[in-house]
Amino acid sequence: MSILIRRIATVLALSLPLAAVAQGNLEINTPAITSLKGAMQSRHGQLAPYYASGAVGIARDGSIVLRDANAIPLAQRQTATGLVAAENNDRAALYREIARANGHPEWEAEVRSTFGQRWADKAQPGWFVQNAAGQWSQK
Amino acid sequence: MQRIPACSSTLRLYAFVVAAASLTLPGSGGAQSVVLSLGSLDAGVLRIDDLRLVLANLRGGPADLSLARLTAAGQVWRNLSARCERIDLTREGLACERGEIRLPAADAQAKALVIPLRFNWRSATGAFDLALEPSAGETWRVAGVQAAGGRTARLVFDHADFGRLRPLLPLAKDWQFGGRVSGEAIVERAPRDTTVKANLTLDETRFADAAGAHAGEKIAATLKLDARQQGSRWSWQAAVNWPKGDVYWAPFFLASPGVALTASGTFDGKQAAIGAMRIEGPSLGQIDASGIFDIAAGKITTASFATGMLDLQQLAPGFIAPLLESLAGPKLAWTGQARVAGEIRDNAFQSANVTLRQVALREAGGHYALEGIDADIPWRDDATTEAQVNIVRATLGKLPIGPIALPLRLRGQALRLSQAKIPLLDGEIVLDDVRFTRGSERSNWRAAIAVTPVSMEKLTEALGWPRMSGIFSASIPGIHQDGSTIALDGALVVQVFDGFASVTDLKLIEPFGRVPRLFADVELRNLDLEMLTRTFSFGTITGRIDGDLKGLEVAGTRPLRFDARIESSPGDYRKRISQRAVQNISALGGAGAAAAIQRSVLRVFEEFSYGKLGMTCALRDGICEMGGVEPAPNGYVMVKGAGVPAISVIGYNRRVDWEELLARLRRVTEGNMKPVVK
Repeated sequence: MSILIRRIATVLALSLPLAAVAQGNLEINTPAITSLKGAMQSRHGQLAPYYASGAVGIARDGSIVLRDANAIPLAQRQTATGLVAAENNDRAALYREIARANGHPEWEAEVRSTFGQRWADKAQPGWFVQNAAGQWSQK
Repeated sequence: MQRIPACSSTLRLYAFVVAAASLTLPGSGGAQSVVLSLGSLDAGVLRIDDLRLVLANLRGGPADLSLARLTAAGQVWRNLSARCERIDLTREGLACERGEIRLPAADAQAKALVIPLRFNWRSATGAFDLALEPSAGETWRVAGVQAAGGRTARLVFDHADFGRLRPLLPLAKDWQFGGRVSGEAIVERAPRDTTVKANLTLDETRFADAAGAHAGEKIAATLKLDARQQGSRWSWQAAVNWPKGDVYWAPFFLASPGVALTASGTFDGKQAAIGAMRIEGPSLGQIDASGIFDIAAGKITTASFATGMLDLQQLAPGFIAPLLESLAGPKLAWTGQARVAGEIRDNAFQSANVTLRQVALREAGGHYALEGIDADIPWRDDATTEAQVNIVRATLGKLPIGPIALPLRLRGQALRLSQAKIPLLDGEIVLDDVRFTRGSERSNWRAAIAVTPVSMEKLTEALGWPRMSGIFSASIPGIHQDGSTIALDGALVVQVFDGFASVTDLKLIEPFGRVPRLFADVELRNLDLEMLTRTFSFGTITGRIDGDLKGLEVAGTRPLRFDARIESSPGDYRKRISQRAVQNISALGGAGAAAAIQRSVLRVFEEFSYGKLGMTCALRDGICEMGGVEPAPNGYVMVKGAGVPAISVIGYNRRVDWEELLARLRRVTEGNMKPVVK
């Protein structure tokens, strides 16, 4: 019996950070969040061909990675590198903003990892997604 | 096992074949098939196992050579064979006019690789000539002659695909490369030294690392190399010309840069030294460099470089913009010239000199620009240096600032500016004790800033704002940036509208980010209402006003929350309000407010006296919870009448959408809200 209680306690303790974020509002909207989402939305059209070709993959940590630049014509690689940097910059700002807007700046890491999972789930078939062990697989 | 010393193993192998044949079967003639099992051959870098030669006839005819295993440069090939349609085997030598090498395919589906070859060896001179023709129009040819002084090998390439060498180069296993090379290389081995002279033309060259972060395509180049070995030391001179082709070396992309490189140096296995290297090209300008690289430790022992005057307009799109872009930095347009020089020791910068001449940079969005930058910046890691940066003109939005002269003191990763006075319209910005420190993870700076009186008329005109009168002056005793946050120590005091505004707890997060956030508390004291209302075409109110903006939080240009209050300043002064101002205040109070105005009175008089006026707004979630100077039945008093003729304005709208309130303010100040007097 005591083992069971201990296990329940452990599970509860482990799930606390996630539970905290779950209580928070990931869909919260502030002008900063609207602006960031707008910028990311307009950039998506440019990034989509790179997701499709596997040049850019969805990383576990809520960012995107230029995983195979050889899949991009040479003259476009600089642009692609810039797009990935700008996207990751906006994503980092988005996670920070959502945590802040919830009144808990310390939730940033959990917001990031929750979004990492969400981006991976939303990835289209054929896109490359990184698993928990850091390996890439095609969805 | 037949052991043959390293060096010229091919030569010795054939010598051995001929010697073996003639010794085992002396004088034997006629058609007689001979099988020679030659065992193994170890030449250090090259090892051959189970070598067999089958000759149909000792005087000539078809010959087959097979070997079970060839090991070279750590690679192993199995079951190789070579065939010669007609081999001429005489005491003078050996010749094969038409032969082929057969390399088994890597897997069962693929075809074996067959490479046509020609071979000729003269026993008297030791001269040999081997030509391989792996594909039509492609030739790899090695010819050797032995003279009294030593041996000479001549390698001639004609459209040779050097990507075929990849399996031989274990260090290059993570790289894909290929391309055509034509030209010749001559290696002369004398007892005292060895010289190498190469003159090669590369075409359609391509390379790429596994990640694609470093890659080149369609490169055309010429290479000229002169090298000489004495003992274990090589000295060399090289010239490379690269007129055509694209290279991506993250984050830089160079398209047909027309670069020429000349270099000379030495190499002894332990260290590589470059005595003089010059790189020149229209997009690069001129760069001279030298240095010593410790191969075992994998580090730069010493190095120095110096550029000529570089044209930033040419250089920026290829080199500066991608660096900023990869850091998600601002998009800037550059012009002007720069020269950079530096010294490196043990992989770390020891000194650097940066010279800028007539440099201008403009942010693509037009938010800021710097023009006429002249700078001389000497920097030493271990000593204090004085640098001077002069900027003819800076522009922040529409506001011109400058000229700016910054005398800087540099030491290590720290920079200090004791004082700079920067003209701003008819006043000055005074920077005091600016300190900047670059940290390994993030940088920080601190400063004290003051703005000595600037005419508000000039300032508002320059900013394109409504024209204001009075003076603007500010004092910031301390401001510092740590990482992405700029914060104020103490209060920012601004003199405005004959009163003052004091800003405390000011914090700016990610000031250059997509949505900068500002936090502050603001106090307004004793502002001249007549100046203020005249400026914003609000009608005329005579009097003084105080205000408080507590817990202000702004994202971008939009306030998210605050608790605001404005109210007549305490004290004895004239308090009059014009007919139009009454209308406008009532318009701010919303539709219901106008009903409270005593219309008959309003029609008769141009202006009225009041006892006090004020409003409050608590902004939360885009809604302003409004109030006045005191409560009224079902509402709040915004203007409380006193004296003769007196007027009061009562507001009834408690909750007003912030955007709606702003729209009302705009309508009022743009003069669209005309007072309607019945």
